[in-house]
Amino acid sequence: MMKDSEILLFAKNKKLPMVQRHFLILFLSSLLGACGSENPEQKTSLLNAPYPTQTGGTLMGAMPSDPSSLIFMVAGESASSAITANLFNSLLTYDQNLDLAGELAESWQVSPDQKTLTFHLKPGLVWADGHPLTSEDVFFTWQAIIDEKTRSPYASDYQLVTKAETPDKLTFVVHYDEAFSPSLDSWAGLQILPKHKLAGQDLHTTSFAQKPLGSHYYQLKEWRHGEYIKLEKNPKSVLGPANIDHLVERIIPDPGAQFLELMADNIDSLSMDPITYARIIPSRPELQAWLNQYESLGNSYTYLGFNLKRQPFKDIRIRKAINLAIDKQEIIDGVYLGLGEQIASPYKPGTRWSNPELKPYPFDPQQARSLLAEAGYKDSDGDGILEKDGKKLSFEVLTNHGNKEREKTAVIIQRRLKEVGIEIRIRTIEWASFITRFIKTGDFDAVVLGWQLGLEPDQFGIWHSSQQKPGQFNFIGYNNPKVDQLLERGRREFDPDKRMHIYHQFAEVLYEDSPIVYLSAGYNLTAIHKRVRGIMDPVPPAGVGYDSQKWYLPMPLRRTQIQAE
Amino acid sequence: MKKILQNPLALTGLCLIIVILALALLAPWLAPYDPDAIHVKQILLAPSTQHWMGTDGLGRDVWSRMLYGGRVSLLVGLVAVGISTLTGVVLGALAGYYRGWVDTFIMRLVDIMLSIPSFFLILAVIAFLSPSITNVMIVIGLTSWMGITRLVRAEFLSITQREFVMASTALGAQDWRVIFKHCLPNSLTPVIVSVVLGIASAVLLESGLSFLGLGVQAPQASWGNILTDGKEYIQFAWWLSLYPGLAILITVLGYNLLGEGLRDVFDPRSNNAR
Repeated sequence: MMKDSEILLFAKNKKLPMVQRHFLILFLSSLLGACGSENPEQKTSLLNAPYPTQTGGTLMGAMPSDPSSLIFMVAGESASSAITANLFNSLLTYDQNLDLAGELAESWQVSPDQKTLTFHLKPGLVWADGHPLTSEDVFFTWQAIIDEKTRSPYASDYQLVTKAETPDKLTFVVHYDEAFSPSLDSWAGLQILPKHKLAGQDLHTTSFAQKPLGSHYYQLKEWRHGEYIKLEKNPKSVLGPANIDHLVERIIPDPGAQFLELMADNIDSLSMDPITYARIIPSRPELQAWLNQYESLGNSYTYLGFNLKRQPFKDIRIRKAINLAIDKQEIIDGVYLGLGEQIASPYKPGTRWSNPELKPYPFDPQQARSLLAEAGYKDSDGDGILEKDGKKLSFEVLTNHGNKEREKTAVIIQRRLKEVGIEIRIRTIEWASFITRFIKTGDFDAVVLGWQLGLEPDQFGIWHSSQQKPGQFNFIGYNNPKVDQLLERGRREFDPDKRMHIYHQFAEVLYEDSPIVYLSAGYNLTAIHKRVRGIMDPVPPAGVGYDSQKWYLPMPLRRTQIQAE
Repeated sequence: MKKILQNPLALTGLCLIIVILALALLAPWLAPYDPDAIHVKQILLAPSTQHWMGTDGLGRDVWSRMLYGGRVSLLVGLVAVGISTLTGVVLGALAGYYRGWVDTFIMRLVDIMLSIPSFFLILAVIAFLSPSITNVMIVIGLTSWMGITRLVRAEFLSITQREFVMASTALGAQDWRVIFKHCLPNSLTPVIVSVVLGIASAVLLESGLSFLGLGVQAPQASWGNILTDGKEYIQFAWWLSLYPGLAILITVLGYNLLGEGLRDVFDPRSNNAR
């Protein structure tokens, strides 16, 4: 076939066949390249050989959607923070063990009355354009986030600041009405923006949101909407330059398509679900040969939450019985393929805030049955479902549509509760109407949901009895004066050890009350190409991405760059 | 009946349907496992002698779930079409027999219903009510009667002009007697074809709705929601997508073949041609 066409083309034009042949070679080599042009053993030994740290190269990643803005306080979405975390610095940060450390700030002090925080900036900080970064920029950023016009979802913590001052270019002082210990965390979360670029502009409409200027390891090079975002090393980075020259985040909405791109070696790192991580990759040795897999406990948990304003959940015995009737390990094994942990307090296990004394509720259907009997429920009509005063012990569990893990969790719970005589109906609802129609109105029996936690132990918003208004986070209606008091104390205490003690007590009261059933804390699962070196092993508590500026790409392993002539 | 058996299309269709119906009806005896039993240690096993069609994401036996899912899918198909046939025949008969403003009213109603894309109408209604098997049956039934109404009305228009009907009216028979004794029995032939084809599309609709999570709810199995579960694992657990897909295909094909076959059998013109 090829030959015929070659002859045909030859007859017409002498030059063409060469081109044709080149195309063919290119085409063939790209085909071969996909199956591994070098011999596989050689390739494996190349991949596993040690290499010294070196700079340069491009790291490819994928994210599910385009950020709406690269000013995080305005966008407030994970797609935005995934990029801005590489562009902007905060005053404080968390170190690898999740303790507070300085980033732009060299040091910070809490005044004796605990109402004033003083930050001392590192000297000689500059923006990527060379303009000096001073306390003026910090002050400007604080003003921007508390500005009504900014409408930032994160404004509340900063609105508590009664007065902010900049006595000199390297000092930033904030005053509070009363001691507020979560404030330190809030200053680790505020990405400092450049005043000289943004002064007098509307953060919602400014072109800066598409073409930002930061101070961190990278700066924006190119953004093709819906295609990719390319970041370039910032040589003036306030924390010293990173090793890798370019970061490219490709926008790939579908996780399946993201995984296909990983398999085709078009991206270097990908976070994934348990099935892909623990089933698909291990079933393909050729993938395992060039992928490193990392798992680390995430800072979130899934729970079954009861509407405590409704019957039968006002009765603690019912809540405890349900807790005992659910086999959490079964959920971890079935839904997360064992890649998760049982928890007994609303904090990441292993951190100082998690109470090590508390052990997860055991799976004990026998005790669950006796608690239900004690509460007056028995199966009088023989249909397998318990009743009390002619009313069946039956309720509806809601979860958001499209979250397969939560849906599966609900099915497992349904099965287990049926065994002790409780009937549940599962209903999955699309997220927006789930929140507006059911959560905000409090019109639900029980929910399977998750909490993504920050690194700050204060959970005032979730558990304090004052936080039950529509749109607030205590939508299950939890009300316990003891917990209220502990949460209030925790917010006033700066001493980490005393705080730890408070939050341990808080977790203990929750444990006894069982207002929610802790189901599992899942792992963050990531696969990264072996060409990426310098990744901290074992994974520190801060996660696999910690210190990623030290990652490097050894020259022989870099993706071949095809250059246009 | 003999003619039906002689028609290869109808016969193939009938055989497929009988097999599927038999499997669904005998599900409690044929299913080797409890279709809802969760075994977290046996997740996503490939088909084997123990699990003929493998296991799903919660370790449930897919073969057992297929059998029980078949019951749901076929039940929804039959009941939905029952509802639509009843509605369609009654309205069509009224329109065709009484004519005048009754006819105008009913036919405009039909036009209105036909102008709304039925799948979106169903989606909207289900979103309002909560999704459940009963709601799905009723909604599918109440959105697919228009074709039958038109068929029955057209038949009635011609039958009411025939001598035996006129004779019966002249003898003083009451309306309901004329409708039920004379007109209806003579207009049912095209309806039967339409009903058989209707079941096929109802099965497909139910699968579609369940696939979108708006049909049959967990833990109850239906072909549609087995298929949804399969979508997640399609890269390596092919059995979760293949078998329910095949089941839907075979059922719909069966009803369509039977419908087409019946049309050939009942249609005098195609008979003469043969």
